[in-house]
Amino acid sequence: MPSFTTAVADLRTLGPVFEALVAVPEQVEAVLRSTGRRVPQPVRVSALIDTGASQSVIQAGLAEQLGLHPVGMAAIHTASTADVPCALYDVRLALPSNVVVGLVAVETSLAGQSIQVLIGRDVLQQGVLVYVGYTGTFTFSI
Amino acid sequence: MAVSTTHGVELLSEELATYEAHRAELLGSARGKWVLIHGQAILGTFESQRDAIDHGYRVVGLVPFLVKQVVEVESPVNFASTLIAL
Repeated sequence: MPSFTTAVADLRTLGPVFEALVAVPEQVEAVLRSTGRRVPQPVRVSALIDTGASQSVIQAGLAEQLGLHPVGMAAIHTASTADVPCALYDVRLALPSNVVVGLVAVETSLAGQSIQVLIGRDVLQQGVLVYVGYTGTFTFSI
Repeated sequence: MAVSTTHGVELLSEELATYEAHRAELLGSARGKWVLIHGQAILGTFESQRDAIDHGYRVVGLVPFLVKQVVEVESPVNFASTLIAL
């Protein structure tokens, strides 16, 4: 099972964060190549593994940057809102150590500028997350 | 500059209306499956979300389309995180 381990300087404060690339899914890339169109460059992001998210999230604007179209809609609930309709996008995520996952992510606004992707339990359910607080490291296998 | 989070949903307004118009019959014939809708056309029902999306790419290409599970009660996506800025 492919995996990566990341050390975070202040794991308790920042949480399990890492750099990743968001790209168009394989199927979209194949269509673009077969029709002679340009494949958008993957976008480098900071991602956070968030066990409080039932589905993964991409920052608003990322899908447009990649030229993606919505493939669905979900109503989302947060601590302060309910039933907010948000579009779903099919994306490919390249994690460290060449771990690649495909996912359907909710597009919404993320507070602040530091995190552009939340890795939710839709991805976690496919793998193993090991959080070693006393060494400031985490390992994700999928 | 704030980025709109409603644009993607607006792009699917026709498909969402089509789903609502056919919801009762879909619940009768394809409960639990994933339906693929483009415009006013229902293009099929599938066992998985992945299958429906892949079929969408093949049949209608790189345009907005709706893939939705046919269920009686919609389950929201829940976020405990305070990072969601809504």
